[in-house]
Amino acid sequence: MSRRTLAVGDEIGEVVVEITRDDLRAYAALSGDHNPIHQDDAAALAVELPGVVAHGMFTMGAVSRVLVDYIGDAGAVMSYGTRFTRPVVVPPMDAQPNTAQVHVSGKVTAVDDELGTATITMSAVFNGQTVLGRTVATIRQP
Amino acid sequence: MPLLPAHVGRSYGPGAPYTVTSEALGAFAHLLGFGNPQVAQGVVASPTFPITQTFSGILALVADPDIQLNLGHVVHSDQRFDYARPLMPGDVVCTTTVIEAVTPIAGSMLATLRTDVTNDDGHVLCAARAVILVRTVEADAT
Repeated sequence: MSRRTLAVGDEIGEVVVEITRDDLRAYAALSGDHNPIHQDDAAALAVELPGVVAHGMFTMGAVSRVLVDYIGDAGAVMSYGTRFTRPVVVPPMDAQPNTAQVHVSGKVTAVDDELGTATITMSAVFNGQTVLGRTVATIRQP
Repeated sequence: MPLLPAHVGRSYGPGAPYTVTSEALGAFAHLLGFGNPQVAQGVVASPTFPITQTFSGILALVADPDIQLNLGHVVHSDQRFDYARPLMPGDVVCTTTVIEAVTPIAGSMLATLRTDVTNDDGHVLCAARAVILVRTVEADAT
C-alpha cells in the first residue's frame, strides 16, 4: 500500500472520538496512570474539576489514531507533541449520553522538500472548545 | 524539600527491561480505536504507546524521597515524543529519566522530564518529554 506525498493544505476530515469511563478504567490499567481524577468524581471535585476527566494521554492517543489512519504508516511519524489545555469531562456509564465526544481533525501546515518532511497540525474540540494546543506531528514523506 | 531548579540533572533508572509484545501493542491500539492494520494488529506501536513505559519517569519523580511530591498536585501539561522508529514486538527496552528543566512560575514549578526508551543495543528508540506543573502553594490544604 503506497502512501501519497502530503501537500500544504491537505485536510484530515473530522472524526468524532467517543470516550467512556470504561475506556478510562482500561486506559489506567494499560498505561499505569491510576490518578483517581480519571476514575472518581469525588477525587476530581477535590481538585476543582467538574467531574471525572479523561487522561490527556488518552485524548492525545485517540488523536494519533486519526492521524495514523490518515497517513497510513505509523513508522512515518518522526515526532508528535501536544499541550493539554482543557479537561475532557467524561459522564458516568449510567448517564445518557454516557460518552464524551471529541471532534478531531487535522491539516498539513508545512512541508520541507529538502528534509523530506511534512508537518501536520491536529485539532481536538470538546463542547465547542479546543482541549489540546499545538498538536503537531512531523511526518517523513514517502 | 519541594522540586527546585537545583534538581535539574537528577536522573532515575534505568528501569527493569521490558519486552514489547504484539499483544500489548494490539491492546493499546484497540482501546484507542486504531484502524490502521499494522498498528491494530500489533506489528508496530502506535505513537503514544511509549507512555506505557515513560510514565514511570513521572512516577519516579513523585516517589523521590528527597523531593516528596503529591501526585494530586502534579498536572501533566505537555507531552512530546521523538522517534527513531516505532517500538516493535521483540524489542527489549529500558527507560532512563532525567530532569531537564525546573522553572518557577506563579506558585508552581514547571518541570521538563525527558525519558529515553533505549533498546538492548543501546539505541534510543524514543525520547519522551513530559512537562509537568507542580503546585507548590498549599492552596487546597483546607
